[in-house]
Order: sequence, then structure tokens, then C-alpha cells
Amino acid sequence: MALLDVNHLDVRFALRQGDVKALRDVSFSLDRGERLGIVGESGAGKSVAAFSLLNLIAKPGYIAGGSITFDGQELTGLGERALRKVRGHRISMIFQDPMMTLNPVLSIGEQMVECLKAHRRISSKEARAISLRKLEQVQIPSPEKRLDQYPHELSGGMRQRIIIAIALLLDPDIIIADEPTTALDVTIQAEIMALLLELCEKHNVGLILITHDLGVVSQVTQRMLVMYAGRVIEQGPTREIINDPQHPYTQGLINALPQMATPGERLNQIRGSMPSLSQLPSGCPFHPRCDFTQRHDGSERTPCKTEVPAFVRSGNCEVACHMVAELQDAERIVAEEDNS
Amino acid sequence: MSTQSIATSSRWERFRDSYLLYSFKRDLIAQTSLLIFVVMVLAALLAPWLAPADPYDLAQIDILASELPPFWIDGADPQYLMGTDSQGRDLLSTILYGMRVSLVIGFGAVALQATLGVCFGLLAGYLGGRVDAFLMRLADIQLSFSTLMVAIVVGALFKAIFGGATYSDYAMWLLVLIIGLAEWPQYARTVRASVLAERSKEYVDAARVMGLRSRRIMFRHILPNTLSPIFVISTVQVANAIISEAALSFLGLGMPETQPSLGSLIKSGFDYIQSGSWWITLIPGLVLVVLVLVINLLGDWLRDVLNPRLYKG
Amino acid sequence: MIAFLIKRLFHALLVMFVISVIAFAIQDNLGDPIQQMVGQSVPESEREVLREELGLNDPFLVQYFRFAVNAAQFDFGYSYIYNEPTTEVVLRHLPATLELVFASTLLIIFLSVPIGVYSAIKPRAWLSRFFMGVSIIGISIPVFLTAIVLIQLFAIGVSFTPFPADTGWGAWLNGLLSTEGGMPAYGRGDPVHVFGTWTTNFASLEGLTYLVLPAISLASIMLPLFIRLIRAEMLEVMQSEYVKFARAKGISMRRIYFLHALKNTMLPVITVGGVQIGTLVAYTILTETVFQWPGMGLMFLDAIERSDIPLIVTYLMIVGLIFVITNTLVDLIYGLVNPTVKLTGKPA
Repeated sequence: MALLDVNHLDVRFALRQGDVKALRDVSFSLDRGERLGIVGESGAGKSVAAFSLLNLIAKPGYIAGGSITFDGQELTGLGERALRKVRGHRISMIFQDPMMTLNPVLSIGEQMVECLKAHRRISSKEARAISLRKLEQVQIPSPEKRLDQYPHELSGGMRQRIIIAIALLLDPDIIIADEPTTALDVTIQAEIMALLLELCEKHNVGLILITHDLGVVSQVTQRMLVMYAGRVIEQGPTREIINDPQHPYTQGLINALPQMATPGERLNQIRGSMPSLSQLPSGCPFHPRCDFTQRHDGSERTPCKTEVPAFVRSGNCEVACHMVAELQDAERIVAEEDNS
Repeated sequence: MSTQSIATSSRWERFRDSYLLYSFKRDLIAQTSLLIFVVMVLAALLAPWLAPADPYDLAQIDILASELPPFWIDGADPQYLMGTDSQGRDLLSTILYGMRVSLVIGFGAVALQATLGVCFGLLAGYLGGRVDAFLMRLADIQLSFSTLMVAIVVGALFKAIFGGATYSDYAMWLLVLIIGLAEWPQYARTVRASVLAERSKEYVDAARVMGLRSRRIMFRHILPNTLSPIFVISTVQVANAIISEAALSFLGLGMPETQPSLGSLIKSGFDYIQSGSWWITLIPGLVLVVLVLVINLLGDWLRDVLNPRLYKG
Repeated sequence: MIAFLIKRLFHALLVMFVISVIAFAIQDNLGDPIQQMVGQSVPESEREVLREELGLNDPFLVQYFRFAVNAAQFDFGYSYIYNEPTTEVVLRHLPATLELVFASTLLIIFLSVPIGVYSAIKPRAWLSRFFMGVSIIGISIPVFLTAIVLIQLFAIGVSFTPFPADTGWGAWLNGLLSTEGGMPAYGRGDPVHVFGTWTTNFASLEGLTYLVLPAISLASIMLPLFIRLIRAEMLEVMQSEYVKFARAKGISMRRIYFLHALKNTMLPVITVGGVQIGTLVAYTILTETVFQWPGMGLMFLDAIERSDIPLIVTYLMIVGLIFVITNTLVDLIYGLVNPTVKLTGKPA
């Protein structure tokens, strides 16, 4: 059994006009020490997925169904007090913008020590010593001095290192990193990512990396899932998906990378934009933007507009696409005919 | 002519479809407040026709009928619905006329402070440099003294300069002037903050590149974008101005008793509260509170709906 | 720290300079010390000699300089009404006003923080809605009216008996609607002498009863303002990323509310508080008038009524000084709470 098992997770936002479904039927799992990437456009539900794991979705969001099992314990029905023991202790988080994540009026030391003291019965002195050790691990120059400094005295890259140190404070099993480098200078992004990867490998910490950067995902993670409009549309080993994407959306994402474009030509954009969650199209949510809703013979592939695609296996991956399913059926028929 | 009608109809449609109207239709408190406010303003405007007596007309005053209680208390005279004040004036009429004075001063003072504040704020924000530093330092000092204090001091000075009798004669306009002078910094700071935010935007650069003069840029391009905070502040400021006027009148620096506002009515009644004639002071007081309360509630609603960037602190 | 203090001191001096110019202009244009000294009967020629002797014909700047030097020594001349040095008159009235402001400030701080925080933590609870409703009514009632209503209710008393008084429940309901009265609402009573001109109402229970109604009245205008401010700021802070991150760290809600959120909430509240202290002093004029509280405000109004120009000028200068000192103190406190303000004077 995996360390973390998410099954059929449903998250909704209760608005006046009715519920908006932010996550539908999201399932994935994570083994100890495994690194998983969650990829998608902004608004696809990546961050909601990350925050719902620890039930940190802001009101009016709530978990409407599904299960989250962590180390044999069901998290969805858990009370605030019990969840608090998991948060920051067994599963910790790294936020997007280091400039906003640290409390401006508390010293770095205070913000580290309070986290240790919330989970362990230790003296302030011990807590400070541990904090210092963690700051050394994230390679911050003169860590002793940093403990008494305030966030505004440190650069963005430095703050993100401190946040990583806080995430590692209690030697968690999993770190959820929500776009940990997007808010940083390009020059520092690679440094921070490398540091995070190194520390996760060294301490055998699982990582859920949320990003829209396919390059980072391919370098850091072993498995990935692609999200679109609140659903998982493709998941599997990172290498397989990057090398041979099955879902038209994933293909579009990879084709849109600058290195895939011919010099002098326009980048290959996916046409249209992601629908708003309150006005999802019928059938496959991607179909209005999809180039493959017609078969080669020109006939309409009707399920695309009427039915939400189910997952089909393709190699080691799972894909939710009618076209892929149809092609597989066709292949199977051909294969069966060949056999007979 | 046809373009004119298209423009007005589309503006009306824009208003009809706006979020402002939508949220107003859903907000019972805002509706009630507006209704009460409109009724009060109408009653004040129509006071000469509505009021049973003219409190300014000395011939109508019957000193023997002083301190009569309102109708629901024993000893009331049905001729005076809300009773009479210490001079025998019909309290209901005096309140209607007083409300008129309070509203005129409230709106007049806000018009003045808005004009001053918007001009200074635009100047400070657009010109920057020394003008900005000077105006904002002035605003800081004035605000740190609190607007009421400034108003009291200015009022006292005017009274000393003009003498009590002249002051009473021109009290209404002097009060507009005093409260207008005391409260402009509120507007100036907010407008300045908006201008600074707007000025960095591209359309202002575009206007400048096109060779528009800075005065035109300020009034035609920047000012419209600062309207919603100005609108929200104005509501609160009308309420504040009415309270300030009442406070000044209560201190004897405002409207004379011969031409009372709500504040001076409260003041003149206060002397009789110990003798049990509470209505002379508390009924005008209640009217004042309701008037200010509905304006504040409307202001709250507007702020929630328009949600402008307001200057804090 | 020293650079910060010097900067603040410079600012304070600038403000005091502006105030002194205004005060001097008032004295120069409105006050006529000759009139006060010799009365009407003395002929014009003699007045002119006196004027020359007193330096009243000197250039404006020379006169202002003389005024400023005297002001620095708290010498503003003699009061017309009291016939003694104005500074002594103001100082005699100062304790009453300061005690009133102090009592109100205590009320404001100890009520607005818990109520504001509570209604931000539980914005939908009926108690929060009740507090918000009461506070919008509160800011709509002028302070002198609150004072008058309090006097009517608790000093004079109200008897409202719509229910049959001979039944037990009727008498009980009538009792709920009526008030006893009897609270002192006139002056300071008999305050205990401390030293010099300082007397206090805090030393005895009876003294405190005199303070109750005026202090509540004075607090009534500021309390709702601060409740609303604290609630709004706290709601905003609770939406911030750092509060979310603190939750993700597994910190208890209590610590998040009262350390992470409250400390950030207090920053704008302290700034506004500094400004509002000035307003509070201004409102003492109203409160003291209603309750005949023998403080500076009542004295000032009296001075205006009787055109006691030296006393008015002294009041302005001393109140100005109080404002400047409190504003500087508030800035200092703000700097101590907010680590992003450099008190050390090093470039940030």
C-alpha cells in the first residue's frame, strides 16, 4: 500500500450561485520517497488539489467526497486537532511566493521554533539548535545571524531557502511544493530546485511538485499527472508522458514548449483557453479546444461532446480520452483479427 | 440628436445592468436607508409647506405654551404634536426647519471640502516634489489635530474676529467654510493616492505622448478614475459634517437659537433636561441620529459594493 | 535609534513652529494687552507710550521671536479672567482632562481589541453581527448626545411603566425598562489631592463614580471606530499567505489569531490610534461641557466665550505640545512593533 492514496477526491466551492466543482474524481498515489509532479494551466485545480490534502482549502471550499489515506490513516474526516498533527509534521508545504509566505513581524527564529514546539515537547534552546542545523542544510550563509533577522531583511531566494528549511524541520514524509520557484528570479530558480531535489533524495522525503513548468517536472519527478479543468486527464511515469504524450492536451502542452518550435516561426499554442469551472462544456472538458474530435474520415466522434472520458491504459500510463480509447479498440480488433 | 438619445439610453442601460443596482435590489438595509433618507430630505426641503408653524416668525410664538410635552404624555396640547421648546415654539416645525439647516450645512461643507481636497490631491499627486511634500505635510498636521479641533479653533477665531452678532447672522455660511476648511485632507490624501496609482498606468503616458496638456490629463483622464473613492468618502463626510455642525452648534459656535439647526436645538433643550423636559433635547437628537445613521449605512453599502482603494490611517 | 529620534524631533519642532506662528498671529491680531492693563479710561497718547515700551510697535519678526522665547519658557502672560499666569491656569485644569482621556483610552483598548478580534474570527456569529450593528449606530451618535442620553438614563432616571405594576411579572418588566438614576453627572466631585495642582479621581470609589459617565461618553465615539477598524484589518490579515502557511505548519489557531494575525493587525491600528488621540482631546471639549467636568476643554470654551486671548493661545500651545508628544510616542511604539521600520538609522 502506498504512503499516500487519494481516491475519487471531489472538492467544491459553495458560492451563492451554487456549488462550483473545483476538483472532480481526482485519484493518485505516492510511495515513500517518490516524487510526483502535478502539471496544468493556472486554474486547472493543481493548487486546490495540494491544499485539499491537508484540508487547507480556504472557505467556501470544502471536500465533497472521496478519500485521502495517509500512512493508513484517513484524512478527510479528521478534526482540526488531529489534522494539525499531520500538518507541518508528517506532511509539510512550500508556498509559491516567498515574499508573502513568512510573517513580516516575526523573526525567522520565532517562525521556525514555533513550528517545532507545536509538534514536539522540546525546549526553546533545543528547537533553536535544530533550526540552526536545518538552516545549514539549506546552505544559508551565516545561519546563526538569520535566526534573529526578519523576513524583509532577506532576499526572495534566501526566504525560499528558509521556507524549505521550515518544511524540513520535523523530517516529514512528504513535502508539497506549490510552484516553489515561479516567484523567483530566473537565475535562482534552478538553484532552489536543485537544492529541493537534493534534500528530498538525501532524506528520502516524498515530494509533490505542483508546477506548470514541464522542464522542471521532467528533471525532478518520477511520475506526473496532468490536470485540466479540475480533472486528471493523464498520469504515469514522467519520462513516458514527456516522450510520448497520449492526451491531445498533453501533446499540446509539450508542443507549446519553445524548444519544440521551429526558429523564426510562432510558438505552437493550444487554441482557445481553459473554460471557467462554473461553465464547463459537456462531455470531455477539453473538446472545444481539441483537434481530434473528428475521425480521419471526417466523421464526428460524438462521445467527445456527450460523455466524460474514462481512463484507459496506455503503456504504463492512464489517459482519459475518447480518441485514445477508440484507437486502442481498433488496434485490439485488428490484433484479434490477426490472431484468428 | 439621435446620437444623444443613444448615448443616454445606453447609459441608462448600463446603470440598469450594473452591479450597483443589482446589489441594491438585494440589500434590504440599503433600500430602507435610502427610503428614510429621501423622506427626510424631502421633509426638510418642504418644511415651509409641511410645518404647522414657522419657528422664524416671532409673531407665531406663544411663550405661555413653552415646554409642552409631546402628544403621548399627559398635559400635551394636540396643537403641538411633538410638544414645544422652552420658548414655546412648535417642536415638530423647529425640527423640520432645523433638519433643513443641518442638511444645507452638511452638503455645503462637503461640496467645499471635496473641491478643495480634490484640487489639492490632484496637484500633489500629479506635480509631486515640493508641492506634494508641502500639501501632504499640511494635511498630516491638520489631521493629527483632528478635524473637530481645527473646526472649533477656526470657529472661535471667526467669532472673535467678527463679533458674536455678525457671526450669528452669517453662521450658516461660516459653518460651511469652517467644516470645509477643516476636513479637506481626507479627500486630498485619497485622491493623491489614486492619482499616484493611476499616473503610473499606461493610458496617462499615452495621453502625454499625444501632447495633451497636464491640466486636461488630470481632469479628463485621471479624475474620472478616482471617482469611486471620492463617492464613498463623500457619503461618510456628509454624515461627519452634520455631526460636526451639531457639535459646533452645541458648543455655541454654530447656529443661533433664533435660526436653529438640530445641534442648537439639542443645546437649547439640554438646559431643561434636569427639569424633566427631556423631549426638547432628545427628539431632535433622535432625528439627528437617524439622519446620520442612514447616511452611514448607505456609505457602508457603497463601500462594500464599489470597494475602492481608500487611504488608511 | 538616535537618527530616528532626531528625525522625529525635527518633525515635532516643525509642527510646534507652525502652531506657534498661528498662536502668535491670533495674539497679535486679537489680543490687546493695553486694554487689559489699563482699561478704557486712559487716553490714547499714554497708550501709545505703553505700546512702545512693551515693544508692541516692533516689527512682526522681532515680536514673534520674543513670543517664541517666552513660549519656550511656558510664559504666555496673564489670563484676563483669572488674573494669574495662563500656564498655571491650564496646568490646574490639565489633570482633570488627562484623567478623563486616560479612563476613556482604557475603555477603548480593553473593549475594542477583544470585540474586534472576536467579530473577525467569527464574522457570521450573531454576536458579531450584533456588535457590528451597535457600532454603526455608535458612530452615528454625536458624543454630546451620548452624554445627554447617559445623563437622562443614569443620572436623572427613567420610569417607563407600560405593564401592570401590581403583578410580579409586570413590575419586573417595568423594572427592566426603567432606570434608577442617581449616578453623579456634574463635575468631578471631591477628587483626592496628589501633589501640586494634581488631584485624582482614581484614588477613591466615589471619585471613580464621577468618572464613569464622562469616560463612557468620551469613549463612545472612538470605540465603534476601532472595533470596525480592527475587524476589517484582521479579516484582511486572515486571508494572507503567511496565515495560510502558519496553518500548514500545524500551528494552533489560537497562536495564529493572537500572535500571527493580531500583531499584523495592530500596525495600522496603532497609526490610526495616534491620529485619534488628537480627536479624543478635541472631544473632551464636548464631554466636559455636558458634564461640567472642570478640565481644559471647559476652560477653553469659557476662554472663547469671554475672549480671553492669552488663555486661548496657551491652551492651543499646550494641547499642540501634547499632540506632538503623543504622536512621537505612537511613532516610536509603531517602530518597536514593526520590524520593517528601522529605528537604528541604518539605511534599510
